[in-house]
Amino acid sequence: MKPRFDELLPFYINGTLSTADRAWVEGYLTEHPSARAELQWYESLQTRLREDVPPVSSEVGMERALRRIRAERLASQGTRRPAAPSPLERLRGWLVGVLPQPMLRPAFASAMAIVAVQTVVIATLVVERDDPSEIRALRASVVEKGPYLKVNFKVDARETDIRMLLVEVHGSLAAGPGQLGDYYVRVPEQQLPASSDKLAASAIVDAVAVVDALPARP
Amino acid sequence: MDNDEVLRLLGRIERADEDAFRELYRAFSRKLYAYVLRQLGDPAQAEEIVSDTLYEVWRQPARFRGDSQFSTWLIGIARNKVLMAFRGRKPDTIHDDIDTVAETVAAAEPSAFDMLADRERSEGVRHCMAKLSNEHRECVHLVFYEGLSLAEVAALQACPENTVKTRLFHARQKLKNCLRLLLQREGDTLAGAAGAPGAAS
Repeated sequence: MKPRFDELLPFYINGTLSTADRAWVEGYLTEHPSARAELQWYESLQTRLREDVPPVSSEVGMERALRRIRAERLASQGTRRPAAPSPLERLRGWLVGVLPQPMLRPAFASAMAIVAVQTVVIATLVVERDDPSEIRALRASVVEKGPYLKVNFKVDARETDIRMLLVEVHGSLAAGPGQLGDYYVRVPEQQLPASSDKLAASAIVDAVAVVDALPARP
Repeated sequence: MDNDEVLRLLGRIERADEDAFRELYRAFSRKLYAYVLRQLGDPAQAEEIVSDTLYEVWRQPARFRGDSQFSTWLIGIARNKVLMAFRGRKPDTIHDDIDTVAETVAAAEPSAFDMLADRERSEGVRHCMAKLSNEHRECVHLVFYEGLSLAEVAALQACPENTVKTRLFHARQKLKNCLRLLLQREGDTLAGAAGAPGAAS
């Protein structure tokens, strides 16, 4: 009896017990008036804890969060969460609408959207064959002055993980991988040290170095 | 603020609405701060973790789906950050004194509860809460400050419900004994002052 009372009492005080358990505690208190002292002590504890509210403004730390939000906006130059849905989202929405199975709709629609996008990418690659060169997988999408981060990923690093990591550091692939496995990543200049540290700390990265420019093409 | 209102604000935050973020921030920051400060005892660190936690809400508002109270969900995020902060600290030893005392004066006569309930004050409770182990202190906070159910506390602390019950039981013993010691000390000081030469004049 007493152990059950001890277990239930805190939740009797904070009002989260079921009706049956609540009735049990009240019955116990009626049968054992001395147990009311424990009830009072817990109530007193709860009152003291709730009185002890730290005297801070409701905006504590808000400015710091807003600074990060604005820095993130600058870094992504307004690409975050576009007001209008992207073509991929529109395609996914359309597929969700036409599929009959409600449970499977989102997963199937996402898969179909990915297939559609991959088809476009493959078709583009077939039409535009890349020149054989040291930098083969991707050309620099924007030719700008550096600095860039030259990154070597571990042999067993998966492409998905690499892409996720680049997103996390706000980086975009400027060139690579070269024959030595060098990737050249462009990040917003003000974030260069932080991105470099984050990449270096990643389990899928072997080495990171800051370089001034992309390697010359043969 | 109820979950419906929270979800409305999160929908606006999804569209990068800073005003909605501010409103949500103001509604939950103080409670979150109270939790983090109680755990870490460091106002600067608490402010940083509150800011980081709500910034995560800004980044991924759709992660909250309304399955639990928003404040409980927020504590879940903040808790991970608190645990990371604990990792950077030396193991503390401030609990030793009341652990020992808990064994020696655990026999609780009902009158002791009466006496404590009448006389304990917020400063004393804060002092004794700080001497509890991290898990015990968190458990007491979640139950009595946040008003969470047994299942919610177990989910947040990632442990079985029986562990929560045990933590509460031991926390109660330790708090009670710590508060008794404080009151005894206070009584001794007062008695000493009353008996000191010249005290009556």
